[in-house]
Amino acid sequence: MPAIFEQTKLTLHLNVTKGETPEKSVEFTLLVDGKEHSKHTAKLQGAAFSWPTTAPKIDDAKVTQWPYDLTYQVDHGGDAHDGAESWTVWPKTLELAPQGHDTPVQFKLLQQGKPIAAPPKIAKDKTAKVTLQRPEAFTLQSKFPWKVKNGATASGQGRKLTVDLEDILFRAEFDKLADGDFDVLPIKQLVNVKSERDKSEVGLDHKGPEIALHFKIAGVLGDLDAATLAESAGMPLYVRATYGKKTKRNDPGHPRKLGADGLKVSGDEQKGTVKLDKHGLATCRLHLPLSGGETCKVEIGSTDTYGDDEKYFETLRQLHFQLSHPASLTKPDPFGFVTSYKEIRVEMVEEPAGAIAANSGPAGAWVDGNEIKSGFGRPALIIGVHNEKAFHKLSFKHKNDSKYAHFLICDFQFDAGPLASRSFTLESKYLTGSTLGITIRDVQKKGPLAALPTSVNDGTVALRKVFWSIPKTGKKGTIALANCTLDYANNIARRGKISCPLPTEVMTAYSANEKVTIGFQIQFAKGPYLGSSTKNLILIAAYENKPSQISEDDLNKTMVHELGHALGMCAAEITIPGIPDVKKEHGRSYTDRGHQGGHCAKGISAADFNNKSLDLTGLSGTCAMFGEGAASVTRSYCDLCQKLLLPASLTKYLLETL
Amino acid sequence: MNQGAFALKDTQFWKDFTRIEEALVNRFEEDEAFMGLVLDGPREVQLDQRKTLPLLAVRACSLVDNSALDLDTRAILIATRLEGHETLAALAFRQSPAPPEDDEPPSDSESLPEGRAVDVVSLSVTDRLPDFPWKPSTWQTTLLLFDQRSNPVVTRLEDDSTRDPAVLEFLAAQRRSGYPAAVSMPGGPWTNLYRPRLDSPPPPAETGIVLAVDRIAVSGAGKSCMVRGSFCLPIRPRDVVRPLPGPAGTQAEQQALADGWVDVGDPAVVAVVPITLLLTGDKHAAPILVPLGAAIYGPLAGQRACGQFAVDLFRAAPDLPIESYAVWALSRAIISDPVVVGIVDQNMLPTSGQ
Repeated sequence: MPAIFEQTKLTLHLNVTKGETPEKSVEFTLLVDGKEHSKHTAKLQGAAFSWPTTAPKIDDAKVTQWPYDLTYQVDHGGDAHDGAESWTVWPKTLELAPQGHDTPVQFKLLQQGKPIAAPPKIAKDKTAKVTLQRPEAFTLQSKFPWKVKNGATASGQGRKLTVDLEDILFRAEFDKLADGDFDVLPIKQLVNVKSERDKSEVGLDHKGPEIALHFKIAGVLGDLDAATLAESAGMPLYVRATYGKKTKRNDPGHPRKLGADGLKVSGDEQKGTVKLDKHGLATCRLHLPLSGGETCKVEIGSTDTYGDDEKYFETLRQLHFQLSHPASLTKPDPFGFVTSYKEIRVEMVEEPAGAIAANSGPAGAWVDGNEIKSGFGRPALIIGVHNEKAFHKLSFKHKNDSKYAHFLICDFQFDAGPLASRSFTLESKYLTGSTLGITIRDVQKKGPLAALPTSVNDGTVALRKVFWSIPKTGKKGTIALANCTLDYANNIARRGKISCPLPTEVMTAYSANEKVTIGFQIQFAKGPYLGSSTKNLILIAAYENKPSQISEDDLNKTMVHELGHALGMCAAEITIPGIPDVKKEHGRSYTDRGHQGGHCAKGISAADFNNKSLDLTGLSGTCAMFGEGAASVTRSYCDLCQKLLLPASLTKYLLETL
Repeated sequence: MNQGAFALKDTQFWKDFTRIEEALVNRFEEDEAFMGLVLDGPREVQLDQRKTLPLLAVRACSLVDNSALDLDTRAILIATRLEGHETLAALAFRQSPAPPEDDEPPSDSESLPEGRAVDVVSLSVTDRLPDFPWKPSTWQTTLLLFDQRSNPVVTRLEDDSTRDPAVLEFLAAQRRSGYPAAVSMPGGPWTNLYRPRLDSPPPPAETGIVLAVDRIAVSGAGKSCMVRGSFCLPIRPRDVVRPLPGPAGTQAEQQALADGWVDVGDPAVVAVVPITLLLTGDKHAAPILVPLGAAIYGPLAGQRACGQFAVDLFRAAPDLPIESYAVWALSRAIISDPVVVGIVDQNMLPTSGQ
């Protein structure tokens, strides 16, 4: 049966094939689904009876099953004959009444598996009219995110069709970001490190202040097929970023910004939309500040209630350090140092340590430790300005990167000091019999603290000459060094003692109450120092001028302090966009006042701090950036220093590389 | 003794000092009459061949003075550019931390024997003065030790990297004399800061700066510590006040502004000379600098000009710790004699009945 639309024009025929018919008229009966619909009497015209008519338009209620069958019969002379033709009749125009949806819905109508050229459009009365292209079966589908309940309509049900809809269960999700689902476990974004990803995925390696956020939609009950995803193209996803723990950093070059369409900013909240592509994917940029410890929560959803998925970010900065130490000295655990930097949201990455083997490095660097400090018991590594670069070159592996600092730990920090002459009038207290015994501190209350067993520069002995003179007679002489000793025991406290037998003529003159002058030439050492900074090399002495080794805790404090300076503290060189006066922002920084350079006076009473003429030496500062290693000093940067260290970008150490 | 006292060739200052030190110690050990501070250094430095400016110094003094005025912790290195107005200063040597726990208390001079100390020390201008510009210029360096000082050492930094006469001629043509800085008002504004006062010291007979200050100054609200100075100093072309070349917007005007032309701030001023006051304490030796742009009034006659200044140290250096200070004045090659002032806190004064 050929398929036609209702109201298609038809001509029913009964032909006289041979002879003549006595009847001059016949009665056509049009049958819809086998039931009489209408009758028509047709007169003979020529050799045929004809009835031009149309396929009837039948109310839906009267149609058992669309399409209906259209047949006819012809009553001719009392005999009923079935018509030679029959049709399957389809409605031409459909009226769709969707229900069950709460957001706009779009339909598509497919025939022979292809959407018709003029898809249904929802009118103001919320119905949709559509004209079938061909009189044949069709499939009605709704576009994402709605689907026709119980599957697509497989065939037409008449001109008025109620379409029950149900939503496709899907959710918007972050793509390409596996972590950061909880506020207590945010993504630690290292904002001062350049991302190694290409532009489309910039920041997804958790580096850099700019992050390419990727979104996707996913079916709740199963994967969405490609066609469904394609239908989602152009659909908006709603994105909201909420910035938290904001510092005072205000950097036009690196603003806090969500790169979404139609962005609306309200306080710390920024929201907008992104459009899905034909793969159900979308992307936008999130810009984080270069400060540390700031947070950002990003929420997405298919509606502006968000809630489908969320990610949490926290800004961190990353710097590197390397410890090098004498192999004979246990490597200090930098845990405290690393922890202090965590507090200011800096990830300190410890590079592999460099162990300095005994007797390695420039000549003269290793000396008998017992000669510097009684009971030291092992060779001592002495590093100073004279040889630190050689040890730096020997042990540091990152020479040209200003994100790397090198802590070079030695046993003692000394440099070769001045060659000096000390002469004095002989007194009985310096004599034991005819043997001279005089310590350096007997002739010098201040000044160089130690004479090294060997000059750190060239290995020569520190005691160069011992001489005498008797002014009355003008006699002069020297005492052979072979007969002289320089007892280095504890000479770090300037107790190095020179002993030698005095010549007979000296003793004779002395016994005769004549003035006798004794002198010696000695090469002093400069130091011991606690440490120093030369570009990215930070030299730290494990022993200073105290009986025991510096504790690991104190050493960690020194590391925190020294790198604080390297980062521009205390308010001396640090610059922060948005904080024009860093010293004012800090409020308790000071310069010198008994210490050297800029430091923090947290813990000092207001009265003492405001007394600008007061020397702060020996007072109880508590911040790691206090100007001396007092017992009160903690390993942490105080809240005032954090007001600068958190908003600062800390892209590198101020230290230049050696 | 003056520059050249150690009889060293310029190149020897960059060589190992070990043998030189020994010779110098022996020499000054023998010269028992000498007590003082001698500084020596190269007269010329080729900028493209050297990266440092080393100096060598000898100090001879009594054992008592040696402990009372420790060279290591008290010496100050100063450098002034003779063609310009820059003065740089810092402690001459790197400092050790606090003394050892079992060290003796500070100087007990009575327990020291009679005797003499001779020290030979080397130091580096470039290490101690990180801002020292490595450019063609002439610098004078001097060591200060509270109220004592060494002889000056003058070193010319030469850029000999090109001998192309055309390049040299071009560079010479680029040199411009510069302009005076604005008249400065340290701790001010003030009026008559550079006018004669009744208590101004008499001007020096020759080129120089003369200082005067009360020996004791009590600090506190409303108190002052006036350092007065009189000077007669050489005037360089750059010191002379000149109007801004014009007319406005011309290249001449732009060039003058780029060269540092500023309104000196007082139409009566005919020249501005750079003077730097330097303070070094008897407890904290680290130098405190108070730079002055000192005004010269009246018509200029000849190559010298005289003037006065009076600076309140409590305002010019408001965080001045309580101690005694040696105050020096420097202007290019000129160094004044020092004056000493003891700063006393108001709270240190005995109250009635005490």
